[in-house]
Amino acid sequence: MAAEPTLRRAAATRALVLALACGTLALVPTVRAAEPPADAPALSKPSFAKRIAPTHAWHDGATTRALTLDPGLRADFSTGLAGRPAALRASSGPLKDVSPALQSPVLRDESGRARALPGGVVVTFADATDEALARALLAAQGAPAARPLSPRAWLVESPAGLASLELANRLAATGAFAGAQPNWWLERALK
Amino acid sequence: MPAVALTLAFGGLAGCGGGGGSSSSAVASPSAAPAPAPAGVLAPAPGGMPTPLSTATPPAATAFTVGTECTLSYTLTASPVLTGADPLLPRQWHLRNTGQTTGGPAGEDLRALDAWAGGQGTGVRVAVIDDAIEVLHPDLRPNLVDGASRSYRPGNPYGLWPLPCTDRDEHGTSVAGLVLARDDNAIGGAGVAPRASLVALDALASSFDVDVADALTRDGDLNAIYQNSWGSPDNGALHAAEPLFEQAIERGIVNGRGGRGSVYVFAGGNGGCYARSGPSTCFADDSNYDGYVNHRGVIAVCAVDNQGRRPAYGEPGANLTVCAPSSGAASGITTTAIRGTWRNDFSGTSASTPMVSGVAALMLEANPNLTARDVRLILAKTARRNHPNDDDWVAAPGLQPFNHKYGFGVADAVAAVAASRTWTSVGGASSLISCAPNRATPNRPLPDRTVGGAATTVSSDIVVAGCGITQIEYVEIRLTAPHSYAGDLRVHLVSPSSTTSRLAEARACAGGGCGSYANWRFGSMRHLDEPANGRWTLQVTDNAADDVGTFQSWSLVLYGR
Repeated sequence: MAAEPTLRRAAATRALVLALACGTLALVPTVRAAEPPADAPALSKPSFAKRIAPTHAWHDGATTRALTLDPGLRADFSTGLAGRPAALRASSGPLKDVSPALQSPVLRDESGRARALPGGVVVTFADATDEALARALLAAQGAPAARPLSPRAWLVESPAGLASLELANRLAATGAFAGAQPNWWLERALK
Repeated sequence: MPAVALTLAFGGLAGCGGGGGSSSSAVASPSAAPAPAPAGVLAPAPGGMPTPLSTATPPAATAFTVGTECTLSYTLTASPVLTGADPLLPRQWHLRNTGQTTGGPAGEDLRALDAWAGGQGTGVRVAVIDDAIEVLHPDLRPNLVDGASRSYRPGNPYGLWPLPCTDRDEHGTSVAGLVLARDDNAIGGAGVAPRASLVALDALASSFDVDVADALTRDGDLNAIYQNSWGSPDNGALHAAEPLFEQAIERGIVNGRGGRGSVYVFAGGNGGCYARSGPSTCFADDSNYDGYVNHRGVIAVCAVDNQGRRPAYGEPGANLTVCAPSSGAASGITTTAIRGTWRNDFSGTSASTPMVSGVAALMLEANPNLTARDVRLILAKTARRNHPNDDDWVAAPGLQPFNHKYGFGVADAVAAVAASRTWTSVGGASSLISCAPNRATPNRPLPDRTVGGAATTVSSDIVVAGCGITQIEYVEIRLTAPHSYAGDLRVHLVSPSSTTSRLAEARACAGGGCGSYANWRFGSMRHLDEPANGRWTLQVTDNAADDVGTFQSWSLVLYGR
């Protein structure tokens, strides 16, 4: 039985190139590929120096999760664009052909997954809360209630973009709620 | 009076491109196309679903107004639902494998056709959550529940109809057909439960957290099964589910179907070889790295090819329940496709998952009182042990073997339906026993594996005592292990019965990061029916050079009866 491979760093390049005993790793598309292509590109583990420091954070309940702004992408929420409401477009700044209300910076979480902010903050109460009380509690924190999502969760109005993240973090910091996080647009994969 | 369905005709397809690389390919035109009947067109009602379709008098209005970005348009045509053999049924080897595919032995299938004598899913509502669903497809429309579907696509030119907007929106139509394409209507093929009722929800068209959560709980008293052939990217990274998802699933399994629990079926994932070094060596994503499919309320589904083997893309996972057929070396899956056509190349766990949803629909028709817990248990206990000489089939003494590649095996519709009829319910969520919290805080550094050196495993025990569970149904493990590259870690759980759940292996991650073990949840079906009490050991190993971390804490929640 072959020995388990050791994942190692290639010191010369400071890139952590992962290799098995028999060769170099390669990336393959994972969607619906019965047999991955043989000419797939090499996969590297990023060196410490190349790892990008987080620029933002959000609160997933009691867990704080790091985010890194992707400087080269913007999310375009224009209706129906290419059949999807969120298209990631290469841009180093705001999209000039799209209303600010329909675009967002793109953030990467610790797994590298793309996230964007179409608007709205999800506030969760510790217990089921009736509408009048929920509205009052949200109003007390300066959060305009939009609609209930469940007996414990409400959607709060906020604009697309980083303003939603800032509002979510502010509401989470108040301690008045069980949780507050943006209504994320999230990269989800069809299998 | 003959049954009539409103099906679609296409018009104004100018601008339709060839679609993406995964676009559908029509394999057949309807061999007995429904005769054109009084042409009706459908107009979306402002702010709501279009007027419920009447089979007697098609609504007279204009065709959908198509937005500038949507290239597909639809016009409804009232047509009789014909009776006659489905011409593509012989190609659907997953329903009954007679050896019609290259290398695929007879019997390597779901045994679906043999199960139909006991019912075909009548009265069971299946909510298909996907990118778009061509609900007007002639093989789907007869099963559509009028007024129950919903579109989440902002600015949808089709109103609340979750129809494909462009050729890219081809996925959900194929998924839906595998669950419940109409049988015996002289066109196309058939789904596993061809008389089940279709509810179509295109929450992936927006992919907003609030929309996905809404779809997962929509009409929870009416929709029995929520079919999900989507999840996190399959790239080796840890992808946590969003809090709204967790809340939705919890609500569904507790309150759905009048307290019997909504049945959530999810794709196990296609990352079985997301990175490779040669023809036969891969890094595999694990289904347990996807926070959507390692929740105890979710039935995670894997795939096997026409030989009953794991295809290259198949992900292992201790959280898997059962597999179903899908594409592999020699053959794809035949199902419905957009533009009113069919295809023979559908693949991945996107294809196997709706088959299990279909089997669940057959089970719920046979016994509507089954709880969500019952459904999962029956699927597991009646599964057929495929690839029997694979060396990962291991069981605790006297218990059912489990395989990280296959869960408990391939779903067996005949056996599952038969068991459903005589099954004594274990109860719903309210009677589920959970023993928690069981916590340990080793707070020990994880020695880095040196190049060419041996790895050092750090173990931590939790001794469970006084737990009333004699038969485990699910195990949830939470791990906190800060590490500068989470992909370096191998994580195994050993039960008091000495069976091992392989939860994570060392790997490179392809998505730009590996995520983090910050209270990360793993799930395991591996210990089904084992007793809870005794010593549980979590073994964490830094199995790659460079990058270091700490095995800070872990917890164990046992669910069962």
